[in-house]
Amino acid sequence: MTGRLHGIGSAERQSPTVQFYLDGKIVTGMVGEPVAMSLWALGERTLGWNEESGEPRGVFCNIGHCFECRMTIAGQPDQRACLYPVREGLEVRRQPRPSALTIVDGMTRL
Amino acid sequence: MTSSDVVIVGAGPAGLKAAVYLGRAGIDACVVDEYPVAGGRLLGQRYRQRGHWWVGRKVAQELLDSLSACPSVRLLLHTSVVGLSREDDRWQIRLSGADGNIEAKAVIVATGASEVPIPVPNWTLPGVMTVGGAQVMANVHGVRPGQRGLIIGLGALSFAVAQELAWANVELAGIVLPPFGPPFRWLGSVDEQWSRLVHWMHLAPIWMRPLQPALMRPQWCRRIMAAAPRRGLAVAGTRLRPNVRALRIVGDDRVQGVELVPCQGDAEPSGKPWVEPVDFVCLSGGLRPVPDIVKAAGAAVLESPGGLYDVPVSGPLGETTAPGLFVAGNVLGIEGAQVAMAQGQLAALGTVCWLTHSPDRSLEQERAFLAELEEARRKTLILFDPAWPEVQCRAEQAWRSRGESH
Amino acid sequence: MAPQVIVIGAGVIGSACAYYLSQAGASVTLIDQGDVGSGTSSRCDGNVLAIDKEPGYDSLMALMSQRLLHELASVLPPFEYRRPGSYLVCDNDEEAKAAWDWVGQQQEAGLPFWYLDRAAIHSHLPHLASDVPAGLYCGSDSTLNPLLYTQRLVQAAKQHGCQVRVHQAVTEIVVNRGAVAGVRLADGTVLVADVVVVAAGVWSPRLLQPLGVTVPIQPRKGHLLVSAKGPLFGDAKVMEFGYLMSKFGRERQAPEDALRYGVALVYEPTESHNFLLGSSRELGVWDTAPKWDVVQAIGRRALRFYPGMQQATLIRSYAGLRPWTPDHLPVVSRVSDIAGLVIAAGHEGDGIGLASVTGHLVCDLTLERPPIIDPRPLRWDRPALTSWKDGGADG
Repeated sequence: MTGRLHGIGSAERQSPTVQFYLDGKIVTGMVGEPVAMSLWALGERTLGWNEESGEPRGVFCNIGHCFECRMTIAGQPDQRACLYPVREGLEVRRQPRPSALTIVDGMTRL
Repeated sequence: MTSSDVVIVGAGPAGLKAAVYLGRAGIDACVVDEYPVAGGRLLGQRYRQRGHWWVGRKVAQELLDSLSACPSVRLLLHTSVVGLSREDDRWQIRLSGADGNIEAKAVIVATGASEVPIPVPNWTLPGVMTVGGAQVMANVHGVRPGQRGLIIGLGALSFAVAQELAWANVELAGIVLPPFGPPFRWLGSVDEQWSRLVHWMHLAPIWMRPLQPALMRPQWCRRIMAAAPRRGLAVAGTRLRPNVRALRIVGDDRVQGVELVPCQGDAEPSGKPWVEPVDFVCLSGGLRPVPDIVKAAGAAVLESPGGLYDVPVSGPLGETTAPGLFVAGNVLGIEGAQVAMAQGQLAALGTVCWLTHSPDRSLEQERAFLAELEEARRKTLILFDPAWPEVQCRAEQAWRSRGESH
Repeated sequence: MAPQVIVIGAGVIGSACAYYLSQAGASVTLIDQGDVGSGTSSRCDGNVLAIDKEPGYDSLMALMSQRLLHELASVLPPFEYRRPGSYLVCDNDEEAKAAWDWVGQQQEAGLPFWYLDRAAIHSHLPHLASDVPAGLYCGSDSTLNPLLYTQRLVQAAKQHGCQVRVHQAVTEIVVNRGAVAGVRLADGTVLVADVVVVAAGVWSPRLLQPLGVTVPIQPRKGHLLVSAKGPLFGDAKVMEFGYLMSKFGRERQAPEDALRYGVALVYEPTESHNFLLGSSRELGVWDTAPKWDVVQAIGRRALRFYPGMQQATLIRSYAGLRPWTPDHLPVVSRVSDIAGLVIAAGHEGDGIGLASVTGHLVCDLTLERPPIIDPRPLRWDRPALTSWKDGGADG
């Protein structure tokens, strides 16, 4: 079963299919639709990982309120994938969990 | 830095309607919206009302077509407003990143609503989304949220989205109640959650509508709901299961199921839990206004009882307590798109009065627009919070007595 | 019999006073016009510093407070406390020379300070702009979540019998024949007490003035920027040495907007995997709405030291009112003419850091125990304060 719905309103939604990149891998989407939607239609579910817990994150509100879908797009970090429109050749990267805060006792550092 | 006579924050029904009014009057206006497409949440709405279809996307297209004939209005999409402050008699609208600032004489805030979260354990798993998010996914973008899903929560959108997904051939295991416990207490008792269903009756199937008068009486509502079998009542293309609660969502790196348990009202579980296999979950906790920018601008807001949301204190033409700042739409309280458009017109009229410094506005025009607002209210069946009429009343009182306090 | 104490102000200072007093057996009522910590204590960062204190009393008080805080961290439920030490970085060679002297003085006073030359500062702080010539390090400095800390102090005070009244403004301190009798609330209720501790931050003067007690505390507004979660730029707090230059009678070299708003770099990573950026100073400003120009100035100053921050996402800003005094020392003092009146306010930017020693000292003064530090430099009637005339130069 594909990730796309066909039926009411689908004719109005058609726009050209283009190729863009997810972590360097070629993927496809429709011009102008949000990156998160193209990825979701392809079956991708993890869009990034939470910085504190390392847990995977996907789309939550889908309207730009919650910032769960943040990805690095066209070199810019923390872009909301549910808002960012797809175009030919767009570079999309998942943001890996940054290294954890190291706990050092200041009195023994030097 | 650019300037505009009016900046409208939000290109949903209220913002676009206001823009059309200003555009037809030849007034220089800029509509800003974070979404890459104009129309706001109209884009995903479709339902049958009194025998005919209401398609939000078409309504949005009509508004945009009107705007395309208005050269004085421009649309700035995929752009965020991050600050709003008054300096030297002008409003400074700060845009995100390198997008710069806009200076304006007047601002209309039409930022709409957001969903109230239901923090079901493991709700951060990919595949868990708000019910509105699923509506946008399916209706606006034609993307399947998953193969089989579950809706948790009896909010306004639960039925509408369930129906929309059914039409799109997306299987749903049903609509169930949220978990027990302190994070969910603001949703109210089970009785209160059941009784709110009455307000979504316009979305219920025909066979259920005769039940509406009965459901409006708490005793009968409780009896009907309590008598529902575990597999639920067929409604809106899925099954409403008022005697089943979610306990937690399960899955490793994505949703794989939801642990459910049968229960009778607010009482403890009345049976053994089981895991319902689904690959997406929609959380339906209701909607609330997002007046953050209004607060940041220093205008007065009123808190709802329980503190779940704030609403701007506003006058009949959308005036706020901040000079030259107006509001329209769901940001004032969730009343739906028709009311939002009527408020958009009023706010535009208010803005024109502000720009021309004329206190004698066209009373005829104001009366006509107020009549449209009343008509829109009459036709709308949404009640997003049982306390809303009281909040609305207090907000009106606060506006009338604003000169008197402090 | 246990004295009846009312502490006005449930910010970090008042809460620490309530904590130590309750622990010691006093009967305490903690009262605030808003919620716990709703004043400056929820609009600040989590700095606990000795690195920027004058060698001598100032430093030693800070160090004592750090020791008490370290104990509290092992006794109270967690409040994101950790002790990574902190750094000062120099903008130019002149600052590097001043820093060298500064470290020497502090080491002589027994503080854990080290000077870091060019190689060392870049080895410690690899994200730093390459032209930074030197810096210094203080090993005892720590960081915490200020609002959570305040709440933990209150929770623990309640466990020892402290009563907490929030959203109740005190309109008047009632004095009868040279002794405190209690406080009057907005609704007219009078709460009786033997001792009233005024720990109301910038709101303290308006409570004390009617009693004829003038304390020249003024608001000194400070902005903070909050980043999104993401890559950090080091795990310890970093500030710039520049704003200490006035202590040496020297002029600070910095861009015009930084000087106008008293902007000096503060970088503070938090346990939530984001960081705070500060800081700014505007004396006499009561409005806590963040000002765009100041936000920009703080951002630009941060980029001077951390060019890599260009990519960072900042999600919001907020501002708080530091309770400033002309000599930058707080007032922790009884008032000789009014029995039972204690003042604990005026900590400027060090409220969080000095709360523990202040709370302990207030308890000592109230219960007439040997004070944990010499209280004389903190008297309300010290010359630096009594000779202060309003309209003087910015401190």
